[in-house]
Amino acid sequence: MGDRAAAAVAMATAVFYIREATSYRNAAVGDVVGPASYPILLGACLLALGAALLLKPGGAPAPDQGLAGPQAIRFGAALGAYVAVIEPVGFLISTFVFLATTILMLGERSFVRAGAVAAAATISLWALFERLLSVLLPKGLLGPWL
Amino acid sequence: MNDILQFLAFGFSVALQPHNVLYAAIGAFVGTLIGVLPGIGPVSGIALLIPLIVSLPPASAMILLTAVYYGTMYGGSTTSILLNVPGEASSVATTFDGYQMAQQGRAGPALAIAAVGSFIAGTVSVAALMLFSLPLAGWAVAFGPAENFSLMVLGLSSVSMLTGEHFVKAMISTVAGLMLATIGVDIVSGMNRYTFGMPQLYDGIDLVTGAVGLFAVSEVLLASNGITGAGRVAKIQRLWMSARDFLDSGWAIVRGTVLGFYVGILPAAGATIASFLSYNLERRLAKDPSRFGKGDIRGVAGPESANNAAAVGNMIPMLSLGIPGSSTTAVMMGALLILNVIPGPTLWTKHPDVVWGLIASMYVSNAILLVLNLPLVGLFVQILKTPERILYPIVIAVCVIGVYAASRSQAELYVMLALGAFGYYMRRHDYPLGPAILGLVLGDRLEQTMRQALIIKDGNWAVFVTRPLSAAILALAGLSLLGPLFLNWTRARTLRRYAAAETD
Repeated sequence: MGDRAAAAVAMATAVFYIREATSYRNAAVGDVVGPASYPILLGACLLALGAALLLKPGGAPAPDQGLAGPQAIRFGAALGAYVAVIEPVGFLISTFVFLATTILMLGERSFVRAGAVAAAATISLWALFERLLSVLLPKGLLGPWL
Repeated sequence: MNDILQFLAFGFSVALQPHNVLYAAIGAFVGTLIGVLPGIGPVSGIALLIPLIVSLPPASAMILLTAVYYGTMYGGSTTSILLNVPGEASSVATTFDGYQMAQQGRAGPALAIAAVGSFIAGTVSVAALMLFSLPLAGWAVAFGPAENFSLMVLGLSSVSMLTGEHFVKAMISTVAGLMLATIGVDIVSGMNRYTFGMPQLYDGIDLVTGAVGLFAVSEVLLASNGITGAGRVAKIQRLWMSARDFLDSGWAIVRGTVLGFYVGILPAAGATIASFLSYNLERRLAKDPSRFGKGDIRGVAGPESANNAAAVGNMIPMLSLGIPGSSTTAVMMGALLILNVIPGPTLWTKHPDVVWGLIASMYVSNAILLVLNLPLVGLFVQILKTPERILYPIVIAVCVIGVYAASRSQAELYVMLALGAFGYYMRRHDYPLGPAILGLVLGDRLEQTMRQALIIKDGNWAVFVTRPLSAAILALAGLSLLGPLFLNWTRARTLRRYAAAETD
């Protein structure tokens, strides 16, 4: 998406944002400003900035390094899947699978090394955060045994 | 003056408590690690630590975070020198001569002068910070909501002016951050705004989620596109410098310190610009400027001192006015707010233990870093040798843990993911991220002060320009439009010259 398209998206967002704000009615007594004015002001700023970007898009062309797409999308998708299952499946299993998958995805050749590193990292992270720093991480499927 | 010494003594009594020294040491170590690791910078590093420090007393928490901030500065220079990979933007200028020195087998002296320069600059500028902050806070304590609103506008406008090449994009980033901050319950009216019926959004976007998503996730995603395998780490032969090295760089350190401190105070100018300005200055003052870019030790000493001094100077507006001057101090300010400590002029009277403990701890962490950094360089080099394909997934897992720890909510992880994608787009299209995080942190207070000022004057919008001080500050915000033209020009020129020197 180039600068012009982004400008259009920004302006559409601004319009939507302002429209939403106009539905906020003043409820508190003595609040002369109300909950809507500030968002409307922000929306107006974004609208103006969007228009400015539309008229004069970025100086340099967007830095498309060719490579840019696929790896980041795959990595992002893996992160999305990880985030989606972390609560039901639990931290230990989901983190191990996420790490092993992404390490392979990013270029590791050896399945054994990816698995070993992922297992070691998962257990160290769990020990550090859950045991040492008492951060509560989701137990998920392993709940009964943890 | 006597007062300050007394306060400082009190500060040391806080900072030198054994557990606080321990926190400073942990912070310094973790910070250096963050500075060395690609993909996690000071902003996301500090944000990730917030969930872990909420249970600490505010003074200890801030001591830890400040030490982290300092540590990232030291760590950033290590990678610049050994790998030609600046860990942080503020150590880009260090790569020019630092990496060249490493190539010539002088990595040791380069690292040593970076550490010593940082130490001297840090220590001297903390002293200056005390002298500046207290009067400034005393003056600002009388500010009403209108002045505070205008100050925040000044902070936001100057940050967006200085951080980006493209002014409109920087402003869009600011407004986006401010808009994200409006999500959630409006404190004055109790109304839900932009939550679209999702209870998970009632509390708004958590600072940790915002900082980690925008900064860390986006950076790792972007970096995953260009994985190249581990870089070549320069060998370290001798881990100290000669007396001549030190004498050569003495004045560079002094100049870097003074310059960096003043640049650091300016909202948003910050460590990166300070280091470039210092590099330029050293080059211009040198009798033999041709040596620069080929491994001149002054090219390391100046910028390294300047960026540390600027990091300290940066704390002044946050501590005394409650206006962070950079994305890192914005996150630190967010941490203070989470700890229920309101930064700004009242901080000095209400929480003297936090503010003086923090100041004293800067001396402590400086000393710890000087001692810790050089012997541990070997360890950090080992970490650097870890292939990115292993490092990046682990960094992401740490982000997930941090965001989850802060909120205990899966929804917050989706927000992190969405902001990661948003930040990815912004990075690829030259939108600076700093203004967005500043907007997210300041948004609530900006709206509150605006509404308070208007309520006092029965909704008369002229209040912001009829009060002289507020009008003056707003005029300054307008003037700040001109500053970046100059600074961008200097930065571009330095980079061009360096590029030219390299092709010679």
